[in-house]
Amino acid sequence: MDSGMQVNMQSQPQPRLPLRYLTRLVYRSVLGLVAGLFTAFSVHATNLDNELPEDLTDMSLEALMNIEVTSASKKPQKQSEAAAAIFVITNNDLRRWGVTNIPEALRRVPGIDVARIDANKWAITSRGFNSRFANKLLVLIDGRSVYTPLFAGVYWDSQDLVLEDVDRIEVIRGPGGTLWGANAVNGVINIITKSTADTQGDMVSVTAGNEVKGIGSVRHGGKFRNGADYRVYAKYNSYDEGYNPDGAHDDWRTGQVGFRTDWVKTDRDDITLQGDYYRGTAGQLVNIPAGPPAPPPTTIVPTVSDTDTNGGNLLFRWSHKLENASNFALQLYYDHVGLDGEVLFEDRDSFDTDFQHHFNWREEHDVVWGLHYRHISDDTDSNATFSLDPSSRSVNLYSTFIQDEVSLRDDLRFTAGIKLEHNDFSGFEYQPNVRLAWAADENQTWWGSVSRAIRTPARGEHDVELRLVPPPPPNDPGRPVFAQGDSDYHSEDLVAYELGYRLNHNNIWSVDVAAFYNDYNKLRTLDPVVDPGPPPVVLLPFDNNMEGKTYGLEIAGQWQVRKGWRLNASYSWLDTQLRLVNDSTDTFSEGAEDASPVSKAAVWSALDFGDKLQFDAALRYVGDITVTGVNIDSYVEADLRLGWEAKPGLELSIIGQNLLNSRHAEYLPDFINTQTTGVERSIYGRVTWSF
Amino acid sequence: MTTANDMPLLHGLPRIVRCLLATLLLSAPALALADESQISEYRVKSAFLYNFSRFVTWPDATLQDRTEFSLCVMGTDPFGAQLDKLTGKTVHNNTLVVRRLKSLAMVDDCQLVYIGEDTTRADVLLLVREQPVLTVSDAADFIEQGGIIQFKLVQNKVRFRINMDAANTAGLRISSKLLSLATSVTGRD
Repeated sequence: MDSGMQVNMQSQPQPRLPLRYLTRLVYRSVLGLVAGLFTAFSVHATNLDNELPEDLTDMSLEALMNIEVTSASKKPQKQSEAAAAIFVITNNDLRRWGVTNIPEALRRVPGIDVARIDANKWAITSRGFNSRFANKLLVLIDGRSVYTPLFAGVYWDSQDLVLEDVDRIEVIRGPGGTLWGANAVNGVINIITKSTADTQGDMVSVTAGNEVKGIGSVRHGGKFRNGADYRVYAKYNSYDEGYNPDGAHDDWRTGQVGFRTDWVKTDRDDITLQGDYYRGTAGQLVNIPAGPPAPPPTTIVPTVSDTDTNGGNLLFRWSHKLENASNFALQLYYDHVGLDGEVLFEDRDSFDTDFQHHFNWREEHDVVWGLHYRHISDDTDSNATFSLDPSSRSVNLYSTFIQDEVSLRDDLRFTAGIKLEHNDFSGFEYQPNVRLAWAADENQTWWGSVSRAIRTPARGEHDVELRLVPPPPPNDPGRPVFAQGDSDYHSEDLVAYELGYRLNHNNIWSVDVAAFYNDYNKLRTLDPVVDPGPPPVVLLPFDNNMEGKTYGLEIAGQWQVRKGWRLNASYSWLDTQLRLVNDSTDTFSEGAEDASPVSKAAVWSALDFGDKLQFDAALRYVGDITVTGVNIDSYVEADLRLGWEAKPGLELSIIGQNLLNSRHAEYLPDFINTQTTGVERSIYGRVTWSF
Repeated sequence: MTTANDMPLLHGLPRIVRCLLATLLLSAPALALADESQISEYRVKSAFLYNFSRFVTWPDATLQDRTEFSLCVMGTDPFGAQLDKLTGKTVHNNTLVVRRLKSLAMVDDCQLVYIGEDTTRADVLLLVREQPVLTVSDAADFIEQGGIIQFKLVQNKVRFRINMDAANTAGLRISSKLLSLATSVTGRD
């Protein structure tokens, strides 16, 4: 532990406890884990090799400059790595894990909690507070935010990609507010697709099985006469329904087309233009509260309904290199999201513009600053369950940030930055962070950070009136219950303290440990108020009457047992302590304490038999949770994959997911009362042909 | 506040350990031969040397009269066989050859010389001063000593610094692309 971090930690109001606590955690977990487990970690680039050309001189200088090297030289040198908890899923991982969509890919990542609600809905969060509308995790696809400002969260069923064309998924746990802005409270997921220079040629991929009814992707990559590379693709998905003895009705289908072109205009200018358009239909069984409900109980009408989705985006990025390795980038995008379901209706258009300038100052300073503006306008429809007032609204978001990473010594890097932001709901917000990374030797890095991040009010928290399904008798108040937006609803805020350690032993094995203590204020509560009417109703206005502390530990490890055999493991531990303040009479927000599992682990093996056959196996454990008072058991599941490269470019694989149980439950819905369905054993085959 | 002692930290672990063992057993027979070589620093740096030779222009007279482009290593060679893979590539219409020099005598016959450890850099630099020889090194003060390109690792990525004065003195022209990618360029007007 380096002394600089201790000073930072001790200057905070709760000085010693978290540190001692975390130290003990590290000690205990090391005892517990090292005994039985190998550990290791893919801090970035350990998987990259498979994707590099044999002859590196085929690569452009820019590409060479992006390779992270593992230094084999003896002399001590600057080994500086990210002062943050990062896990990278590579394109090769996506293939070998046999996943069919982004939520499945996130299951093995430490600190990330993935729970399927029904076949087309997921609750995914980082470091706790899980919900279908998990609001503390920001998700970006190629720099475009897919975090919905309506209820806060991500519509995962609408975030589809040709997985073969995904370059990597960078998962950064912990606050990222300084760089990425509001709502990157507990983490940021950056999904990055390949440059079109890397997807030249044609590719066809077909996947089919019992749960995955069919996924088909077609991509064509080519070159324009001016030298620009492009690709166009089309993809169709059809998934079977989950398990519900009364009929699940949650099967779903999506279709998507898109394109991307990358033009290296001059030595200094890179231009990217890309766009996607999708349509989908996702089924569900949703419980609609019907009234008037006197005498109790409220009538609940289970309704089979399809949610139709459609959306599209167009993104332009220009990056320009200046002298001395400095550069600037300008990005503009337009994004449309359309949602038409039994409860939620939304048509939203966003226009986003982002400018960033990066430069070196006096060699030791690596400075990046930027300006950002987003305009969002939405149009919603109301029904007996859901309405927004006003039904249509335009909001603006402005922000600016600056961050400086300074090399104090060869082995010591200090980062400080701040973001200032203004939004129409909560006004001005600030999000600073300081980070320190110490390369103890060429194999070991310690890092620590203190940062503040905020979660800004969602449009719904400001403007919604949502009729909720009341608890069963005798607790049913006998009157309609409405969650109600409040124009005084404030941002939630977090001050986070993180410590991390990475060890890479000759690229044979590596381990990455991150521990954190998070201190939240002004968390969301719903304090009941009886409105005598007529008609009498119970209102639950959104308020900020909860404080919280979370403690956690995440370990990821990797062990290259021998050539062609790699083992990985990840383990996460989380403790959430919530406390109502201001005499709040809220009865269920504290339930978020148990909505994410205390512990979660995964172990997986990637084995090659020669260069044609691959065998992959994984085991995943997720601890038990309690959602809206209902306990969901822990589960262990296994995934297997056998892959065969029949000839160059043609790969056949057979994949089994969730093999240990015929079905298991993972989550329950919260705000929108759709019925949950069990996750069933899934077996499918896949043919991928590149030519 | 909960104390550390009643934290269910190891909750569920025994099961995990069992599962782990199962996976290990499952994966045991390995015949694997696939190439998993790590990306070594000098594998990448040798590709940089090749790119330096492409983005630097030598005086016409230097390359016209010969068929070979000599890429030399003076002192300790950190590249090993990686560098030999460059042999036979075409640079400015000449065929690239890799030479490892035993003495300073032949150094001004090189077009590019990488100066490793265990050699007196100042001697080499003095010898090739005003000669059209591109000098490259990892040494931390190489630019200050009068070298032309100095490698530098930043966040485990390969970066480089350029000394324009030294390049001008040597009669070498460095492309704007290379200059724009350098972390620093000294001696520029």
